[in-house]
Formats: sequence, C-alpha cells, structure tokens
Amino acid sequence: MKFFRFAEARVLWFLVLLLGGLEVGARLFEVHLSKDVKHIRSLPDVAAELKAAADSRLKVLIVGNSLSREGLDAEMLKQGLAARTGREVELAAMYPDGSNISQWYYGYRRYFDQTGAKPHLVIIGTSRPHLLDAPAEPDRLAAFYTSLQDMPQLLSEQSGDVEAISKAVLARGSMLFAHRGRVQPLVFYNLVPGYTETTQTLAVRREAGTPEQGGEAASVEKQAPAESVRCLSDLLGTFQKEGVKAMLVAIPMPQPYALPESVLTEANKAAVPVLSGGAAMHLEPRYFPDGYHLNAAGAAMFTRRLLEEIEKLPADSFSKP
Amino acid sequence: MWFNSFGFWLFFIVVALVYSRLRLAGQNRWLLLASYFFYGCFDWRFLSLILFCTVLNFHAGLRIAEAEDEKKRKFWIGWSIVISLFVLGIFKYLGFFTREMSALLQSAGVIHSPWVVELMLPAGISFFTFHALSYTIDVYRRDTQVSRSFVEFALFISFFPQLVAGPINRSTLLLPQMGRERPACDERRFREGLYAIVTGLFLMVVVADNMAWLAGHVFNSDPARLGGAEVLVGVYAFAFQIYGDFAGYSSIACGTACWLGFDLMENFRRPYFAISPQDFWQRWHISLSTWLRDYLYIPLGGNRSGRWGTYRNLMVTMLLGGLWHGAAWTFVVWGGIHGLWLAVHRAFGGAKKKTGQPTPGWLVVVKWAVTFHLVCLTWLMFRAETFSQAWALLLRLGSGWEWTAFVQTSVSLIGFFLLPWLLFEAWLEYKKDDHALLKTSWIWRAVLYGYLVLMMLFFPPPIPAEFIYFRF
Repeated sequence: MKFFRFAEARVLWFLVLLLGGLEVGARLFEVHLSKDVKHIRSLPDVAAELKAAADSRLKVLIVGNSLSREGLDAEMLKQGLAARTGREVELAAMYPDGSNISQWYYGYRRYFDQTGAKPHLVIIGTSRPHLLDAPAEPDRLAAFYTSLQDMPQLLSEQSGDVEAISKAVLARGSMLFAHRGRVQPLVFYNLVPGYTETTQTLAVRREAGTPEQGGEAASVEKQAPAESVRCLSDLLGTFQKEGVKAMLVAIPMPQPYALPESVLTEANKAAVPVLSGGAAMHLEPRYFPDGYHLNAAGAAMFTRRLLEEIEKLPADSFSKP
Repeated sequence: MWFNSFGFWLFFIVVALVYSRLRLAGQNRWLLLASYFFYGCFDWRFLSLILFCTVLNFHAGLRIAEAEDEKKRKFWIGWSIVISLFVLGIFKYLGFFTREMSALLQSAGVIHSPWVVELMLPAGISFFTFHALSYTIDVYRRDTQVSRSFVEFALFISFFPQLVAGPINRSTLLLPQMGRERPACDERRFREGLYAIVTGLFLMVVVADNMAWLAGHVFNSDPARLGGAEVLVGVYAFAFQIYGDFAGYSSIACGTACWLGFDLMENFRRPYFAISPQDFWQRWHISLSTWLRDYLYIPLGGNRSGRWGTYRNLMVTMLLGGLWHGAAWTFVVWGGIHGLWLAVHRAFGGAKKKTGQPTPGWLVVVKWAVTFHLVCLTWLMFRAETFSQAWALLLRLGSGWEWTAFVQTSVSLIGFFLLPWLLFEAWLEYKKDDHALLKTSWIWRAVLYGYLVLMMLFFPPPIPAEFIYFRF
C-alpha cells in the first residue's frame, strides 16, 4: 500500500486529527450529553457501592428502564423491604432509558456479575414487551452494556450480519461512533422548526399505512416471529447460577395489560415470582402526566400496592438462605 | 452489498490488497472472481444469467469478427441483440406485459380472472445487458477490436464497481483496459479516487437517504391530505434523493475503479445546473444518454431526417429510455415528456449552436429556474406509482399553500443538507472544472472532507432508504 506513504497524507492526517479530537471530546464530555449516559457511566460506581456494602444488609438491585425509574418509589420500597425482611437494605438501580431485556442481560453481566457485585435480590421492572426478545441495536449494546468478555457472544448473536458486527466493533472502540445518533436529534429538535410535529406525524402515518396495506404495524406483526424469551431465560439462568433471587414486577401503564404467556412460563420455570398487579392497575390519566410514565403520586400508590404483594411472598424469596 | 455498507468496504479492502500483489492475468482472474462474488451477494441464483449474457455476447462478438459475409455479420449482431433483449424483456417486462394484456382481455370479457406472470428482477440486468450490447454493436461497426480472452470480456461485463448500477461503460473505453497493464494507485489516482468516494458517499448517505423520507411522506400519502406546498417540497426532495442516490453511486464506482487503475465514464455533471433539456441530458446519467444517442437516436437517423424526423427520433429514443427505467407506463410517459420537451426546445431553436455572444446573467437564471422546475415536474411522474396519483399530486400543487410543520421541516432540512453542497457545485460550475478542488490547496479538501465525514457520521437518515436505481 505504497500510496498511503504520500498521497493526500496531510488531508488524511487532518481527518484523523479531527476525528481523534472529537473522540477525546466524546469521552470527556459524554456524561453531559444526557442524564441517561450519566446514569450508564455511573453504573461501575453503583456496582462498587453494592459490592462494598456489608453482606448482612439485603442488597437489592432494580433492573429496568424509565418505567421502573419513575414508577417505583425507591425510598418507600427500601423501607418496605427492610420491614419485610428485618434487614437493612442497600438499594441500587440500573434503569437506562429505552432499555429492554438485551441491555439488562449484558448490563447486569458487565457491571454486576463480572465485577463480583452480586446483589441478593434483583427486581426486574417491566411492561408487556420489555422481556421479549427484540431486535437490539448492536452498537448501543456493545458500547454501553457489553463487557469485552461478552463481546464474542454479542457478535455471534448477529448471525454473520457484517453491518451489525462492524457497528458493534466500532462502537465498542469509539465513543464518537457510539454517540453519533445523539447529535441529530439534538440539532433538529432544537433548531428545525416543526421537526417534532413532523416526525410524530410521519411515525403515526407509517404505522397506520394505507388502508389496503393495513399499516406498518400490521405488517410487522405479520412478519414477527413467535414470542421468544431467550435473553430472559439467560438472565434468569445467570441469577440461578450465582444464587441471586429475582422477581418480575409489572409496572402500571396508562392502559391495563397482561404479561406475555412465554414470560410467565419462563419465570415459573426458574421459580421467579411475578408480581403482575401493576399490569392490571387502572390508574387515572393524571397519574401519567406524559402519557407513559407514572408521576410521584402514582409511583407511591403503586409501590404501596407492590409492597402488599411482596408481603405475601415466602421469606426465602429475598435472599439465599 | 451496497457501496454505503461496511460489508462492501471490507470486501473492497481485501480485493484491493490481493489485487495489488498480482500481475495482469492474475489481477483479471481475481477481479472476475470478486465481481461474481459481489453479484452473488445480491442473489447467487442470477450468476448463471450474467454468465449466459457473457457467453452469448462473447461468442457473438467472435462470430461477427470472423464473418466475412455481411449477411452473417448481420445475423450475429441480430442474434446478440434479439437474445439479449429477449432475456431482459422476460425478466423485466414480462410482468408488465402480462398485467396489461390480462387487463385488456378482462375488459374484453375474454378472461375473468387476472393472469399475470411476475419474475424476480435480477440486480443490474438493464446495465449489464446494455453493456454487453455496446460491445457487440461496436464490434459489428468495427469501432472496437474483438475480445479473444474470455476472462477479459467476462470482467468487462461484470466488473463490480459498475455492475449493478453503471455507469454503462463502452467497450471502446473499458475493454482495452482489461487487456493491458493498469497504472498503480499513485498519488494522483488516490487523490481522485478519494474525492469521488467521499463525495459519492455523502450524496448517498446524507443527501439521498435524508431526502428519501421527506419524499416518501408525500408519495406514500393520500394526495387529498396534502397541500400544494407539501407536494412541492416532496417533489424537490425526490429530485435530490434520486440525484444523490444515483450520482453518489456512480461517483463511488468511479472512485473505487480509479484506485484499482481503471478509468470509468463520468455519469453526472451537476445536472441541476442545466439551463435547457438538452443541457440536462448532457449532465444526467451521461452514460445512458450517450448510449441511447449512439446506438438508437443516430441509427434512427438522428437530426439528419429532417425536422419532423428529428422530433420522431427524439420521441422514440426518450420513450424507450423511459421504458429502460422500468416496466410501467409512468416511466414511458416520463420519457415521452422529456422527448417532447427536447423536441419543443429544438423547434424553438434552443438546440442551435451558440453564436458566441454571452447570455445575459438574468436569462441564465431564468433558464435554469425553468429547467430545474420542469425536471422536477417530470420526477413527479417518474416517482408516482400510477397516473392517477401523479395527476392528483399535480392538481394538489394548485391548492392548499399552507406553511405546515412538514413544509417548514422539509424546507429547513433541504437547506441544511443541500445548501453547502449546492454552493460547492456552483463553485465547480463557475470554475467549469469537475476536479477544481483537486487543484487547490490541500486544506480546502481537508475542510470539505471533514465536513462530509462529520455529516455522514452525525446525520444518517431517520429511516434507512433503498437504493432507487437498483430496480433498474
């Protein structure tokens, strides 16, 4: 590759320096990009605190997404669990925005399991779709959730898809690449007039589609494979292997729902209690100010209900005897 | 394996590394293998089709060259043209033909249920068929030497940078390059290739794909729900989508070929700066328009058939050019409109040679604006699924000129994605030099490439778009 020695060397160096500078910037300032990144980057500290806590305390880890973050009153839960078990509670949480079972599986392994920060109890907060296997963004998984040790597993799951593998590898190595998707919304939502409304309209129309086609949602539903819960099964398997107790908690949504049958079967197989009261809760819209997440009053109401359900669980549901 | 995929660039790195270690014969065999692998990635079942096309035309070329009798030469060129077009017709037009025939027979009450035969369209079939035909016609006309090396000829047909979407290279340009030592990728080639690739990727990834979802909104919506301004920005968006898509692909094809030591035909030269239909077709899909000119328009008589004969030849050429793009009446009508426009332009003296007097600036601007908007209107027909949709959208242009959120967004995004690029093209236009940037200080290239790379990195499309010309 003789030409690399001389051709356009200054231009290429300029590009390398530009991208290198931005990479450094991305690494230094990524926590300022969003609360979510800040939360993800705080996970090693969260895990370290959990690890350092005395074993006499009940170490509880909440795993979920923004539904769990907004839908569970952490302090009330902590006090309730302490009252139920008679032990002081060390509460930690991993609930990045928009995450689901893939992120929870790899994130738990990277930040908690492989660092020896094992909780006694994991509470997985979910709604209907979050525990089902779904196409995950391999770059996001690789950059923020997957340890180097788990990278081969993540890559092998891409079934030889060169695009997905390349993106995962690039994102694992470059924070600039991993965060590339954050720039566009930042610029467009703030600077382009009408962008929010347009994207919402287009998303709705795409889902609705034309009457003859039955819409994108209908076609996705038609093409979607049968519900699979491989990731959940792997995560529960990891808990079982390490003697970590778990429970699944259905977080209320504006409309009542039922957890998928396959999730209930898998939980049953792993002897994991499912507290699905939240799924059936019909709360007034005022408890969902943004139409999706519970507000503080709703969270308190739900956590109280949850603690009543927890109260009924046998004593060995909280930690290995 | 698209040019804007990681897979392609991994493939290209491996191909280029091995290629640089081989001598000519080995290089040709290696490139042929790589090209068949590349084509097989789209659909390996059609490898036999491209092989058939290659054998057919290689054999026909040999027969034409060997024949001393004019009748035999005519027979073999006819054989090559008829069989090649028959294969193209079967794969590309059978569905269209049976659908139209079926509708006709149904309306006449001959049949009661539709009878349509649809075949899967092999990637790039129109391109490699025209490619092969240019060879046999050139051999027949004695414009090119017959190829006696099957590997060289097969590589000429299947050379991967230009295989699925052109440019449609002539045998006179590309075939000789297969048989001789090609220059190594020196500084000049690397620079030119890099320029073509980076600009091509920007056009594909940033311009085309970001315009695709704006255009898609308009063309996938019920026209009754759209306002005139929305239709207009949707048509503009499609105009830049198809330009970015195809010009970008062609540019990357030229760039990668350049790095491998090949020179391909230029396919686009800032078409939206055209100031007449004739000018537009000298800038848009140049390899197809010159192909049609040399192998159809001129054999039909060109402009030597008198005024009306010339108009007829223009119409026939453009109608068939439209049909080449796809098996639908909308494409035929699109070609017809361009043919009519070219004829009208010629009738009013627009195609006459320049007198030497400079055209006033304001007139250039008026001509440019008229040409650009008429081209955009023809894109409406090109992109529409049916006549009724095209007509309904056209009617909507005359009403409901509200400044909706979609219009605001589209205008802002078209400006955001295209304004800097169009300013750069305007500068090239002013310089009248496609490679003007390569003659400036390195810092300007560095700044431009930096901008293009960052745009590609940070502004990918919200919804992945498909490459339009793949279907042709």
